[in-house]
Amino acid sequence: MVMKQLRKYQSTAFMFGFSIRLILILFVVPAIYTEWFLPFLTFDGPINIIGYWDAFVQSGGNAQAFPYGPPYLIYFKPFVWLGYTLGGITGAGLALGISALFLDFCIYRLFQHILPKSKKVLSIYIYWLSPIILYCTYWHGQLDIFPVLLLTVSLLFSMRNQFLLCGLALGTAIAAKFVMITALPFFLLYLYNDKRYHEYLIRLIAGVAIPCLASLPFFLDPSFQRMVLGTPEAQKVFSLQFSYSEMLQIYVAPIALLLVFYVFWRTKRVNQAGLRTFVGLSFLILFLLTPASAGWAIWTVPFLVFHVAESGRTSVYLVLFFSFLTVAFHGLISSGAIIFGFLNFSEPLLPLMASGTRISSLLASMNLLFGLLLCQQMFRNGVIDSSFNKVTRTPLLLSIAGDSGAGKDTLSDALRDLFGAKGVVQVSGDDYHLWDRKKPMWRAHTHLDPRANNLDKFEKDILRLKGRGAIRARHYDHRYGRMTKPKKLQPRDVIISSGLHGLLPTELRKQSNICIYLDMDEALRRKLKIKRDVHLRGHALSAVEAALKARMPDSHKYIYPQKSKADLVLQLSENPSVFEHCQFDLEALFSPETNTKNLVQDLLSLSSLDIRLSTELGQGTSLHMSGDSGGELVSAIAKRVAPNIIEHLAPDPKWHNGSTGLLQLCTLMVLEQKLYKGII
Amino acid sequence: MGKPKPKIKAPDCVLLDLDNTIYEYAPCHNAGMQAAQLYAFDKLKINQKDFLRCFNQARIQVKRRQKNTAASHSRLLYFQRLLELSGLGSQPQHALSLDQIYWQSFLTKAQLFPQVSDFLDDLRIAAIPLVIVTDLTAAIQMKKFLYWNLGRFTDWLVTSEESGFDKPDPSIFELALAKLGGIDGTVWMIGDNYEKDIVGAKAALGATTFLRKTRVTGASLFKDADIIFEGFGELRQLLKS
Repeated sequence: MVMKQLRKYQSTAFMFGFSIRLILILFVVPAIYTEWFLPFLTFDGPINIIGYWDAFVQSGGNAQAFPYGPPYLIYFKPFVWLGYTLGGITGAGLALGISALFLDFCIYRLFQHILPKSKKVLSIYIYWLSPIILYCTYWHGQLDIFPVLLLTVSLLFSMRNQFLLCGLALGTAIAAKFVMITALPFFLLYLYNDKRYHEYLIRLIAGVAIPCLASLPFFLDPSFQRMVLGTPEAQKVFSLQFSYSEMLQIYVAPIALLLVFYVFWRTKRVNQAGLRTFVGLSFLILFLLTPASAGWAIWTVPFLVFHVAESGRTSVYLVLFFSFLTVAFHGLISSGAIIFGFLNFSEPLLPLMASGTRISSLLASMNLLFGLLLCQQMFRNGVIDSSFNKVTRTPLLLSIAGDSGAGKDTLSDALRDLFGAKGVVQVSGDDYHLWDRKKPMWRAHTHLDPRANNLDKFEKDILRLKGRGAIRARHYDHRYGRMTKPKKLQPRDVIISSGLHGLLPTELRKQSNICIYLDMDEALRRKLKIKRDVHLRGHALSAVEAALKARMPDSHKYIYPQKSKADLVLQLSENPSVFEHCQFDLEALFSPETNTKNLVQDLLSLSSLDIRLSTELGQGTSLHMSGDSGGELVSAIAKRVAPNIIEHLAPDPKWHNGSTGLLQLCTLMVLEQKLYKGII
Repeated sequence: MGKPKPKIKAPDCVLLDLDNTIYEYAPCHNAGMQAAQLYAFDKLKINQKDFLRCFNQARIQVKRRQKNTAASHSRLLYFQRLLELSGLGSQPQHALSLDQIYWQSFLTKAQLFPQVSDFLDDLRIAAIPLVIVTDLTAAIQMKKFLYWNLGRFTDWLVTSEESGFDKPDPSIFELALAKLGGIDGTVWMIGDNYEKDIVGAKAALGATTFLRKTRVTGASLFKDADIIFEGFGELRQLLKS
């Protein structure tokens, strides 16, 4: 109801925010514009801008006038110079305000772009009407909106897995304002902790390095060193301290920042929302645990918007209280502005008030209280209660069982292609056969007999991987029929176990996030098995045919019964087709708990597949799919029927064509429902 | 609101057009064309310029032959003719694939306008019967029906393939009411095309007509439209009041 009301008045709210900005730009000149920024930006310095700082100070300029990096100068100087040329110092002030407004509007548009459709309205109410932005940028006159825009851009590129651009934006933010480096360790660890993203680390580092290295020549400028690197602002991080003794101080803010970083590291794997939460927490802590300048509050605003978008109503109240208290507190102690050119409010109000210290201290305390409440809410919502965090506390375990030649390896590989080879460890039941192929015991047992397999170790190994422990396992070399020496297998975020008895061990089944049984039309299975064993594995045709015959009783006795234990049964049958990649029909049998309505609707509406559906009470739903389906179709439907699982996939998942793609789709949908039912 | 008229009676039944009324048609069509064109280049080496030229020619020819019937909108026929005009013959397999790829990309792009679902749900709660009345072939319109899960709000769909002629032919509107067993009372017709939806429904049923404001319908020439609206929120308000 509230959201509906908010939507109704959103254009009015936007115009209101815009009008306030315009009025402030036109009629108000912040004190720090006239004292610091304008003299620096209107200074007629060297054209190549290296040495600009020194030339400014040498000409008698204020040595604290512009404690920002070169990107600031490159962006603001042309605007201010143009304004100065056209309208003198008034024109320069207007130009500086308008250039800040442009950045401000870009952030607003970015949020319109980033936030989900239902939450776009928040970009107006929480960002565009933010008292912090209005006060700090247009009254107090801080220009921190510039690195904040770059930081938000880097978050956008990170969401799109474009880490070179993400790095470039972040690197430029750091080159502009060094404190933005606070976000860098989180981005690096985000990529390092998640094996799917390892290859992006170099891109991020390269992206960050380019603007930072480009700024290096400025470090030769002694005034740049003093003004930007030696700014007294940097010392504020040590201000909040308590004493162990007269000589020994404990610094609170660095400890808190390192704690946040430690928790991020130990959380191991977070999604984009988690990354935003941790970066936001670090900026909030910097603001709260230091005697921060008003401009520092601007750093927190994008994260407050994200937080509100991902949380409930309480977050709105907290953000509102926090914002108003920030403005009230800094309104008292920070410099102000001159209105209409003669009403002078540029001095801090605090000295004018008799009981100023008590009031400002109270406001600061309340501001700290609401800030800390926000921190705990951000941490709770973004990390502890995050559904992604809940389902990734242990690796995902996908268990596949089925007869020999039923397509277990095909499915296992197809799922690996989705989750990404670097994030997946595949365990094959074949590696747990007790004997090499030539051993005499195979005369007494078939491979399908559980007694011919070390199922106990198979189960223990997988459960160990599930507990994030490494294992040592042999590999069965089908070509030579011998086990290799044991090799170390490292745990990964996704475990795919497949084997003849993949669903037989009870605990393994219990710990599996999905149990799949692969079945196959018998004639097709014979044909494919002969093709694989003779052509790929080098067996004699007569031996393969004999094995098929000998195994049939054990197949019925030990393999088929696993079907009843599965969440999903997938059966392939032959369909000679004009399309080269759809020679098989797929029949998927879903358990009664699985909701197939959306999948069926999407298949009917988006594909040209021939769909047959049958549901029997208590037996689940059977879905027969026949015809042509491309990888793009599978991807489009997966995004609709398994939206949360998409976050677990590789940055560039490989969606297969034909029946293999449909195997991927059915698996993801059931996995989504099993993982997220009851969490979201 | 374009020109609200004071006496709009609550509806006893609502007829609703689909294309460009409850979603924006152009970006979906563009996405579909782009995907089809990529396929045509990849598999048949038809370049972009030839593809668009042949598609436009094919559309004109099919429309001329089929006149005001559902088949005149059939992308399958357009693509078949496109392939013929490209000198490749009818190529049923590729024509079917192009049709499939076009609609798949089209639908994947399609998003309902804000508050469409809310409006349709308001109708459901108010027990006001709703019929989707739309040109084009039944198969694709049924796919759209399923894609947006419109079955939550209505049980009825009438396409011009079913009625025999495109709007504004009265047969499609009459069939819609006949499916409901006949309606005595106020009928609302909501659409985006002045000639087809507004003039057609007015002439056939004397319906109260609602024209969605688009770039084309932005002008104030559309005197038969009782209401020109921009968003479905306005219709919700009207329904409430």
